[in-house]
Amino acid sequence: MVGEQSPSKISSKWPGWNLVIGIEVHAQLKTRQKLFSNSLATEDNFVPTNERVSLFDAAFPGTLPIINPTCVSLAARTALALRADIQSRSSFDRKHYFYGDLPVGYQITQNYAPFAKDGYLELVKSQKRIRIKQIQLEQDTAKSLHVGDKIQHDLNRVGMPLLEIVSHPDLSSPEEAGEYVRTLQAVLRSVAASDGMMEAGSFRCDVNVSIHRNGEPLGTRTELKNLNSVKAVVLAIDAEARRQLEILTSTELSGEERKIQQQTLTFDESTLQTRPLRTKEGVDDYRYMPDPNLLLLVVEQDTLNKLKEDMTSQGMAGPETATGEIYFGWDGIRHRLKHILGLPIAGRSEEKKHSDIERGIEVLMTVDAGRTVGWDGDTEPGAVSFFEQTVKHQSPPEPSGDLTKPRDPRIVLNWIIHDLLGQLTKRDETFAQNPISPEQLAEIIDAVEAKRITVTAGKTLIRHLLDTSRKSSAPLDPHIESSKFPLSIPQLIDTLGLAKSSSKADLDQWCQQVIDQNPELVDKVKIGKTNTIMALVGNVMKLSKGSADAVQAKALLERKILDDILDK
Amino acid sequence: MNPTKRLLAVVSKPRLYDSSHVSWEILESLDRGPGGANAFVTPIGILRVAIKDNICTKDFPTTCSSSMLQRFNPPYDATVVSLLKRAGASIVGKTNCDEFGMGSANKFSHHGPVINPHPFQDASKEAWRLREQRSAGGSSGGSAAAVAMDLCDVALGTDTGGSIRLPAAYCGVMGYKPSYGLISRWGVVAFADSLDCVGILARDTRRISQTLDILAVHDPKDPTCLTDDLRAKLPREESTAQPLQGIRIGIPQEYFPVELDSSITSRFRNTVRLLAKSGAEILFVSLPSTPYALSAYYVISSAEASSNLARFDGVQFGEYTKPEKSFRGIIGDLYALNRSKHFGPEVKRRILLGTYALTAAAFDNYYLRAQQLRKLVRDDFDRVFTNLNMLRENKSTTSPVSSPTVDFLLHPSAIQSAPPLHETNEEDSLNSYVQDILTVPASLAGLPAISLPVGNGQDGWPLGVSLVGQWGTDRRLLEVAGAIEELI
Repeated sequence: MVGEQSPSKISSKWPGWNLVIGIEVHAQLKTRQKLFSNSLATEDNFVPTNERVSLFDAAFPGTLPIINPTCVSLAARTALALRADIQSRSSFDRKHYFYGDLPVGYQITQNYAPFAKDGYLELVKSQKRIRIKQIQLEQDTAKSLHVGDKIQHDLNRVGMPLLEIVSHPDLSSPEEAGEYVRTLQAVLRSVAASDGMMEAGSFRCDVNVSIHRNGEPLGTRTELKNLNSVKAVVLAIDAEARRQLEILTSTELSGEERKIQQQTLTFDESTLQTRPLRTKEGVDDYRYMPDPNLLLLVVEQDTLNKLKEDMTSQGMAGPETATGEIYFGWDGIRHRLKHILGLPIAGRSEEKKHSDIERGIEVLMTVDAGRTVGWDGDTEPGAVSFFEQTVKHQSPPEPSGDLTKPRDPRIVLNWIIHDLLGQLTKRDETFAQNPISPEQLAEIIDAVEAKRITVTAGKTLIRHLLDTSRKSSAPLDPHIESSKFPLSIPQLIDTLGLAKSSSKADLDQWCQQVIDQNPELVDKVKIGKTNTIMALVGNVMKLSKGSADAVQAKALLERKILDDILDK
Repeated sequence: MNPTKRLLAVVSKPRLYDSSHVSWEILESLDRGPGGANAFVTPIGILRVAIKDNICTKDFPTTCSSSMLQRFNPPYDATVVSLLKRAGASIVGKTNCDEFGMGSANKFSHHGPVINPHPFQDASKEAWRLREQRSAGGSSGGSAAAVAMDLCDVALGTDTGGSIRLPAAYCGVMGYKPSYGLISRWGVVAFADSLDCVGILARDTRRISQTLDILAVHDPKDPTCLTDDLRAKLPREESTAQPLQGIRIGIPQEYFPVELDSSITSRFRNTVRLLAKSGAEILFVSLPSTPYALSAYYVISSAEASSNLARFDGVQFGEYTKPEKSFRGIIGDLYALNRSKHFGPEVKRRILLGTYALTAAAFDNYYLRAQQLRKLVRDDFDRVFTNLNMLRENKSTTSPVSSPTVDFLLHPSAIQSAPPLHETNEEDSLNSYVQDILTVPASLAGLPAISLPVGNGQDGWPLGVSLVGQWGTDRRLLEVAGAIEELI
């Protein structure tokens, strides 16, 4: 979506110039309670203002912070997914300033000893690794509401847990920045740390932009704030880079005017221009001080091991790589899917035939990233889990009594991507609305693979299930929904008469009927338009509701028509 | 308001709160004997407790003796107050203090200074208004005075750098500051979180121990409050017949500065002689980092205070002053207006000092240096105490030369007896700081300490000595203090 709208890269547009971008993300952790108080989190914007406020949040004298361990777990999950070093000891500091959005006069953050350091994020499309400088826990401030000419503050947001994720300035184009933001959102969702919604404010980006000529030192950077979509990030960076370039290459300006001022800017989407938010007169002094109430935040190896086990059991981990490493979150899931699908885990496969599967994996993961993130790190089963369960499902023994063969994961992936997702898209439904259970899909695939039904019949079954159990609105738990089906897949196959006919008599009857009902088509075949035979085959398939074997039907039709000619 | 009324300010009953304080008349009636003032009479057997006014109470306003919080009615009780209520104690009222606990003479109070009630119930003395007016000490001056006057059995105070021990010494009562973390701070209006302790003042150690039994429990609402696991490991009383026999008492040589009054030295010597007679072994020890303690204390406590008091901006908390019509400032100017008007001089002084210490330019030279000095002070104590400091992971600070170690330290509580109120004026604040010199090292190290009255000096005013123990040895400290109490 971003690709088409984004302007071309500055480097290609203005040769000799480099663009340097660093991004600070503030992601709200999706915990039921706040970072240091037990007030309930505001789950949506419908909670009336100032309802979710404890004495501590409102800065009542004598109240003290108690850290919410769930916030620490979710921060650790994120750090693991970003391959950052979780510090065995980190600490909290107070950042002071006087403003109405901060009732206590300071924000508790991690300035001197952050939670985790030195991670990275892999950009698949740009094929680039972006280094993460540090990850820290901090409190959110109150939400400022502009009511008429007044500013009011909603303390519901005060003290909500934020994870600040600071990148190195490794990004060099608006498109890379866009991919970074989207990937980071997916990473946070993959470990159920944050729902990463930019528009809703649970994922906020501050972008630092500077430009410089090849071979020259870095330029003065400006900061872009209040960007509330990926598109805005991409467009704002481009606009800001152009603004800076215009200043630096101007022939009219001179002296100080031809320099970039260090300032904070906002982006106007209607004019596609950046403009100053406020000029920093000197550097703000936040008077950082270690918080004397909060002891060192200690993360023991044991805790970390338990956390990793928990992530593994929730499907957030990959298999061990050749070097014995385990990746968590977004990359871990990709590793696991590649492993299941028989692709090499690390890097991109050189083999052409793998590229389809890799595309399939990306589709599956993109769909997976759209699932609802639960509270306190809970996950709901998404597309990836659906795929894995479909692969793993143990079907009941075949009618013949033989055990079913293990399902080929690549075939399962195909069915999900092309048929299930395809049908859902056609119906304008999300994956969460899918009423088909992994078990049902597994049995359909088995029936096709065992040649009990044809591929067409399998697709018909999927459509039938979607039609008869489609729910118009809310996302549903596919497992609960499946229990509402009175009929099993084998029963459905019977009821709908989809079983591939092994009986010669049936096929004979259908072919004869088609020949009898379509004399014009038969005549065309007779005069040598042999392709027309396929139209007749199609009619047989329709008549048999897909249960006929097309190859056999074609052969029989040909023989019958030939017999007819010979008879005459 | 009657100016004489403003002077006393000891204890207030809920309904008396607005008229604010104990009047001369009530004092005179109290002076005539027990039961003189019905306002403070509770059934026998019920622990009567007065609460320092920086500890939040549902039933009373909590002003911190500040104009800023003159109308603050907390909708909650501090944990210590809840615990006392649950134990059946009667909260008789709130006590005056230095504003937000900052001061050592209890003069910096919105309610006026506390007058030292010594000598109480002495029939030979002239009427109250004619007596010499001396400081009750600060910042828990009201608590010490209330105990001295028997307005309560026990008073809670807070001690950040000596705020319980100093007034106890001046008023001739016991003042105990626990090990940091032993008693919950939840609901205590913070001055400097890393130093603040809730402590107990009473006329004898028995009452202190009894109250400690109620208060020394884990509070899940205070992140710095000791866990039950750690509490179980703390040393208990030894309950021997002669607790002083064989005990090793150290006299730290740095605690006798030139400012120390000579009558204190003789009283102190007398106490040491009594201890030696009872079988205690007396040793001279050195705590070489003591001279740094005062400056480290003022930097750290002021830095934390500047942060803690940021919430009192007059908009969300504290008194709001409506600006003049001509006011054209931004929001920051409005905060400045409120804070300038409703903070007292000492509080402002410390906020400014603390704010400066935290600026980027000064942070390394002040705040960080102070933290390093604080560690040196701790190391000193860990070197001289026989008991290991349970909070420190290893005792790497042990000097290679094994110098003798001691069980407790003993030193004068203050450099002089209670100074006359008119002498402790605002301009003389540097001198008030020196007064804290003997008490802040234990605060910096989070150690338990108790000031015991040891009789009067040549001027007829009470003197105190302080007993200091290793972190966590509170029960032993009170046991030994009890034995010393019997000696004197």
